[in-house]
Amino acid sequence: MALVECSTYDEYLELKPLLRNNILSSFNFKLTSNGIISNRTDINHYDIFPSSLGPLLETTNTQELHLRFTQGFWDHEIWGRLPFDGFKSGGTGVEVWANMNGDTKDEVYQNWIILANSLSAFFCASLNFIDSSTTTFPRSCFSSNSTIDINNNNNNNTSYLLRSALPREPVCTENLTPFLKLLPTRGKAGISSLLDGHKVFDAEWNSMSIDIIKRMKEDQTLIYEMDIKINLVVNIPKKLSKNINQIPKPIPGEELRCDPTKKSDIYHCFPLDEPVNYEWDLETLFGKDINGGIYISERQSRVCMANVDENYWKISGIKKKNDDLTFLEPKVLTDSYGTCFELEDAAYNYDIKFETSDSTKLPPMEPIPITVSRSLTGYSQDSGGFRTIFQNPSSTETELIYFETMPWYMRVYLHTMELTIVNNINKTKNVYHIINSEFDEKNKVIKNVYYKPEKDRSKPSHLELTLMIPADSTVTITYQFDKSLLLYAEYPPDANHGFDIDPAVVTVLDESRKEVYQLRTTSLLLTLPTPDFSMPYNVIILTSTIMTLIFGALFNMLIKRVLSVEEYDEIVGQSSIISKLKTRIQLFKKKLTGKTD
Amino acid sequence: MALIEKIRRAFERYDLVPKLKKSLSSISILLTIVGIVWILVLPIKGQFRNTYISENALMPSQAYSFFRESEWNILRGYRSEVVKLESLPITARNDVLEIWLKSLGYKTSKHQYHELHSNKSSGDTGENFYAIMHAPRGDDTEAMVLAAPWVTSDGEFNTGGISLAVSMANYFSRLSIWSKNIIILIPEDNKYALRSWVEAYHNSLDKTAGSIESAIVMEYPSDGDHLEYIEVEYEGLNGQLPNLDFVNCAVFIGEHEGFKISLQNTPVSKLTSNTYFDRLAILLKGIKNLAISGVRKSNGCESFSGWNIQSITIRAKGVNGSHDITKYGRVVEALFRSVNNLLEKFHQSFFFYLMLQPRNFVSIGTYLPSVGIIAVGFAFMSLNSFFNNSFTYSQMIGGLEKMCITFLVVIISSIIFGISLLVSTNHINYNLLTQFLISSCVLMSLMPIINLQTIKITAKPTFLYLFQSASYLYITMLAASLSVVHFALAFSIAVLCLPLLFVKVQQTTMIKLQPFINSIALLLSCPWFSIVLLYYSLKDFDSMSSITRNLLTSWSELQSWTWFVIIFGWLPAWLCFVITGSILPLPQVEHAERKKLPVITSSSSIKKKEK
Repeated sequence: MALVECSTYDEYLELKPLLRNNILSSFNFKLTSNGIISNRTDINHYDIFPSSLGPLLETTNTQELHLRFTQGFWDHEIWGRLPFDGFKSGGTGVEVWANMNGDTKDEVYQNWIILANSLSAFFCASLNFIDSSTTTFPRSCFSSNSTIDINNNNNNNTSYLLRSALPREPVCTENLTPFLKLLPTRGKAGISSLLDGHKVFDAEWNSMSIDIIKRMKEDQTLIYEMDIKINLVVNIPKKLSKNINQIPKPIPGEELRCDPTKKSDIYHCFPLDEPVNYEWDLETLFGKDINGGIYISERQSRVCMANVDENYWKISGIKKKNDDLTFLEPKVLTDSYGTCFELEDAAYNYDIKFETSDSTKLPPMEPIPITVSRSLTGYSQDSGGFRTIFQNPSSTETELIYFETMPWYMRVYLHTMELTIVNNINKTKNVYHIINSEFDEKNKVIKNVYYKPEKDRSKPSHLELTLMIPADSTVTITYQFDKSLLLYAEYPPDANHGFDIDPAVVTVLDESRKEVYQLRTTSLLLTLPTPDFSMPYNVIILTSTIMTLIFGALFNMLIKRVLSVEEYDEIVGQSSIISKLKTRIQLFKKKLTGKTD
Repeated sequence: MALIEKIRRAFERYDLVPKLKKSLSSISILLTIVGIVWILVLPIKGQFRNTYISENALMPSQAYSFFRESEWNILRGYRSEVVKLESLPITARNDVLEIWLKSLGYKTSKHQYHELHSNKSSGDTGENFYAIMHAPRGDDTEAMVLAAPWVTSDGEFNTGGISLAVSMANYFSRLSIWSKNIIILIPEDNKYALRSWVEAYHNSLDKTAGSIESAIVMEYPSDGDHLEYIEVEYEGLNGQLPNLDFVNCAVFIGEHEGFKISLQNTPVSKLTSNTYFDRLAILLKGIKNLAISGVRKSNGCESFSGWNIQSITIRAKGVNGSHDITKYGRVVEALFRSVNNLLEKFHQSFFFYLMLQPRNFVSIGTYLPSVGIIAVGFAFMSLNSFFNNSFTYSQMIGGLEKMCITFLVVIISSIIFGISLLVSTNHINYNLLTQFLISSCVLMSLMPIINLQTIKITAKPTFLYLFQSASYLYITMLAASLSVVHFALAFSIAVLCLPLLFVKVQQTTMIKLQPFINSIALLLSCPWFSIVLLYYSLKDFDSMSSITRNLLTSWSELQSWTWFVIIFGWLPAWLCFVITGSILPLPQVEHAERKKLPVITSSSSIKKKEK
């Protein structure tokens, strides 16, 4: 059938050694669907492309869907550039953005909520918590990847880009399983058989991404392209020692590596740096080897290792079945970097062995265009500040788009924005205030500001800055915000943890304003004034008591007779036991004497 | 309502109001005694509580600590190198540390700061070193600080503390359990250098690691391997304390490792006994140390006050004990692991408490009434000055305007005096200032006698009574409002002001001793006299002038507002009593027109009396 031929699947694993004995593993899975008939969910045919996703994308009119699950801190000083220039990794937590078609913004938003709720079920993530207070419509930071305008069949249809992030979402094993289920191999064969939740989430840093794009082929058929990537950074020495013993027991005395130039005897040991010679294989990293190749794809699945100095590194591929071991022939492929091993046979298990005599002998690190860090300032419960530092290590000025969303309970004062430019070479420092300063110098840095203020409980504030960071300079942007009080029921569970603020997204542009690199800052923890949650009950009890007292007094005053003191004493005198007794005796006397009044 | 009515009737029937009015001063003195006894009662068995861990997530000492065995070798290896650093300048030391920690994978950085009130020979800039370990897989939003200053609070080189901090950094980097970042901080000293780093972390540092949850300051000047016991210090600035859970964790873990824990510098001989007087000593020392935090020598952890950071100082003591130094490390490790377990910030346990023993405490609800009762005592004295004299209500109120103006003048002049000292902290000769303050204190305290003998300033008696009444009320307000935020300072000031209850407006009919009583009371309750008291009772300070210096510089260096409490509250109140206690009242006259004559008569009559 012609349709079946359309769908394709390709998978490969790329490995790249990093400094300090780390290794980056990127799992790549590419799927394309059969030709689809738009707006018809009933007659489309899915084989390789997951049938669960297609109809959802159709009903919600989604042209593009991007999902990111990331955890950990990317150490750019040692690891260098992010894999795929950062376009395939998100910030801490979960991030989702989609390009959706619709007549009106409201209609698109409704579809977005449907999409988010469905994805929440698919990926076991709290995506169902996405609502208008976390959704933004980014303008320029997430440019569309669709090459063909699909809107031509309906002129009223406009395309909207919606984005939301959940920085508090802990990415864990339950999020990996749905990824594997989207693959035709279901994680049973091919490189995906390496992916085991325990090992993936034991990595120093991990990121999982899905990009689905609706694309029109040359023959005018519409197809979905899905790109799944799972990236991990694993520290080899930690992994090796953990494989021997899960518990971090102290190193036995005789295995200590001491610096001979310093005092070193049976009592003293000045530790040496980490060793640089290691030997490991895929099984060390992932706990198992590759369970055979796959037959679904046209191309064989393959494992590629980045180019390294062969004098210090030895990489060998092994094909094994029971005790039968054969070495694989390394290949150089045109579309992958380095040395590759093809996994030809489904009946065999595959493993790659790595030996290095000096793991620091690596190709030079590609320079990072910019480093960005962000922190909160101030300490009071009612206000605070943001401080974002852009450091341009290169000798050319760098243009970038800074995208930031802040929850509505942070009331940002944009007029407090201050810009500090420090030249790293001659150490000159200039401070500009966004409103008061002369515009020339400031405008050289801040090219454009797009700001959409927050709306209580319904919209986050949305800030997009186009910045030009001068060469060899550090630019610091600060601004202040107020913290608002939440309603009692608006606090999340574990309210005293604080509130996570979305990582900011930085997209670096080149001279032709093409996006060349993307990175995200870490998320931040904002403390809001948090009530003692038992307090409302104390307050209720106290106020009820006071109200009862007041009511009692008031009721008393309303129904009681008002008397003077004399009258009162008289009545009290009458009602006392003795006076009652007296009247009784008098009555008795009267009875005795028989006299009547 | 009926109850109130009955009480009112009883008052009428037994004529209680005049009786009460007459005994206002005795009631006041009674109340202050009750207030002080209240504190003395707290260490009695049954009045305090045992500590407990309120936040279940902390789980102190639940995990087996592996900082032992060969880690000791590493520690000794580092220590043999740290010892060599003592002779180097700070920057060179920090360079060495930078190499060490960089090789462990830490992100190192240096923080330059400027001394505000420099008395160092090395110039007015300093350098703090810090290194960040970003928790693997962590969300990079929270951090824990391990600080070991180069110099301990006693001025010794922190050999043990620094080597332990570095070897723990080595050990921490090999663990994969961390959910919060770890900051190893080596400040130049534990006072201003540390404080300026904490401030810079929240304002200007380029390398940060999220909000700091907890901080532990380590001090062990010895280069030996064996220690006797550990000391935990927890007082922050301005009455702030770390969460009781954090202190409890330190105590639980320390005792779990077999250490004796010393609070408030309890000597080693007292560590095993738990008598009433031991508890009372820790309680009173706790109040004192909290009241003068910022003024006394820094304990390290106080530098973290103010940013919602729970911080304590753990100091190892002794050189020939039975505990080895890795045990001290294990205490810190276990504390880090406890904090690491937390999902929420510390919020469960008490933030206001007084410790009696490492495992006994009293909470704010139990001790706060004492200062309240004393404040009420002063309020009663205020009523006493207002009512118990031969003037009618309307006569008294007549001098209100004049009284208010005088009062304002006193307060404003006190504030101007205080602020002008504060802004010129860098140009003051503290020796001279201290001498001036103390001599002015003595001179003014003698004013009741001097005025009586020679100067003879007089004023209307209604004014004096009203003024005294207002002054007592001012102390009440000071004690009551301060007690909410800073119990220790409020209580100390209230107790030191107690002699003022005996300052009386001098009257011709009074006993001859009154001027002397006034003088002694004024001297005892003078803010500057407490400098002398502090110097002789504490032995922590090299000179009295260092106390004055710390009082004045603690605002700019540490943001401790003790000085403001003195110049806004205590000093003006005291000055008011100098006025009411010294100025002689004009004898009572029927007609306000005949003002001039009684001056002569009053002074002459006094003279006669004294002859």
